[in-house]
Amino acid sequence: MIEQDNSTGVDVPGGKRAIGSGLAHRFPGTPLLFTDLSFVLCPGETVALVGPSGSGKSTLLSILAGWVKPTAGEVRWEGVARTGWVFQNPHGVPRRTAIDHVALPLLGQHLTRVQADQQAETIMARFSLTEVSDRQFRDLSGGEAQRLMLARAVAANYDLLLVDEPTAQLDMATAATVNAVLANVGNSGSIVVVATHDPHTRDSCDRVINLADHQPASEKARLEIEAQP
Amino acid sequence: MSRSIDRRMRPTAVLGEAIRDVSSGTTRMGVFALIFILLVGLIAAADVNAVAGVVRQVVGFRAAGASVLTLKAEQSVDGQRCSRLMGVGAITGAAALRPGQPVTLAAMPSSPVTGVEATPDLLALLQTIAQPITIDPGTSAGIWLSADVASLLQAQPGDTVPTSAGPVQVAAIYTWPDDGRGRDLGYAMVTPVAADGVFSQCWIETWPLSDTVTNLLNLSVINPNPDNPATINQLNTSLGLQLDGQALLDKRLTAQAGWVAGIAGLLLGFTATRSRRLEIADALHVGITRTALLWQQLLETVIWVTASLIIVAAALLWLVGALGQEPAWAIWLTGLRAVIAAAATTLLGALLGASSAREKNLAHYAKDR
Repeated sequence: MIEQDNSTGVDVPGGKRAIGSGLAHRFPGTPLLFTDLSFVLCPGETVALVGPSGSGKSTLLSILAGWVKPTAGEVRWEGVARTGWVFQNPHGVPRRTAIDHVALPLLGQHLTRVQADQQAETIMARFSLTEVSDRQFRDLSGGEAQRLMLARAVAANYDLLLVDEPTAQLDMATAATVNAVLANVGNSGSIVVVATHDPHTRDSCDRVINLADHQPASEKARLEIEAQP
Repeated sequence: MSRSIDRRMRPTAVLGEAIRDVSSGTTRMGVFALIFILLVGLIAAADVNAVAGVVRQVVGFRAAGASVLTLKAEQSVDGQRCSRLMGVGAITGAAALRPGQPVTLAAMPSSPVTGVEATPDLLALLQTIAQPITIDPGTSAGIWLSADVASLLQAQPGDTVPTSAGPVQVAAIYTWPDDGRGRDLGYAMVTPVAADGVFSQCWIETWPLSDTVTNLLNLSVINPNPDNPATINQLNTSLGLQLDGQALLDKRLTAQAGWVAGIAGLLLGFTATRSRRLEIADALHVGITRTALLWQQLLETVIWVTASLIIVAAALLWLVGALGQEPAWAIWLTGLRAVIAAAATTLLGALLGASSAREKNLAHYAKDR
């Protein structure tokens, strides 16, 4: 695990990059969530976005998606055309099979059904889903469903993948099965950012951006007071 | 740079997704087809029933002779002129009549039968206003007996009946109910005669009713007698003077059935796909194009709408048969119009519902699940 959040000027394979420079954000009438945040995100690694509750993890994901304009600073995207999300609550089509969910984005890439199913099986194997590939989505466990969402995100071949609290709704044992395959998302050629407060998820990632290190002084003091027993 | 990916979904893949959605129950076609069948089927059935009612009213009006106008002018009606009125404008039948000699039947010497002479065209007119009517196809010449007389004689078409004027052959037996119509032919024996000569009545059947036929009817009069002018009357006034079938159709309670069914279909189709907005937004999010998704939703909707349409059409056919009202095909097609309108708007609604799902609302849809 590498603790690093201020890297710039990195040579990137494939030319995809998301570069944040001097980012700060506050919602109207509220204090700054974070400030003075800069980073470069590249494919090939999974970056954990951590910080206490209310520190702006989900907001930063929205800024990375381009949905929210930061109060200060800017995000520059290079080679990023498609951004995908994996939410904390997995959602799918209840009566369609697991493999159908992974094959769908591949069918959308002009593959035949046979080709899509073959590739889907390969991807699902990386996420320990081979056993449940013919099972309907409604019959999957929480962990299986969340791993399926990650496998489908890999099949969708996003340039930037934003994963929001993937283990928040799972018990520890189930969460462990998700954390065990999380690195496989980073190996897919996408830029991957995982917002999490789960230390095990954080440990499964290659790099960490900790928003606690970018709190304004007053906010940091408030959070410390709140953290006291 | 990200590698270039062909985002066009193959048509076979679109079809395959539609089939899998249907076969897996994702489309919920059973539910929506049932709603379509019940909702649209009831609307169309109500319309079929209403149209059949109007047709029944019109047919009853004509069958009772209410659409027959009779001109009476003693010894002043030209048979040829009267007969030639048939086919002019809305006149569907025309025949001239005059009193004949009273006939005494050998079987009933104390009850003379009214003798009537009429041009042969009267038989065609009787087929509209004197049902049921039975005609002996092998008897080209012969008299026509009212059913009242025939039943007393126990005569059938083709029988020979002895009369005071000698034996006559029965060519047809017609029904002349006591439903308010003139009784001229109620207890009568009609002898067809050539149209040459002078008659005392000219009957025309006209449909739809028209004011202009009165003028036409007067054309049959020759040598009008100022002391005894011609009179024109409706053969049967018990059902009213006028019946506007088109107005009845236009004003029927279900006249807007097509629109109502269309709106119902639009809402149903919209609901069917709008309820799957999370699935559609998600498919957009993983890279399926809007075009491919619309085709897929359209195919899925076509499958259950077609199945529903066939079922409703068959049910309407059964209903029309049960109602027993002719013209059955025309009545069925009228009901079917509402069903087809609903089917078309269901497809439109499905497309609108699918189009309304937005990828940017994916998180919102997921939260609302």
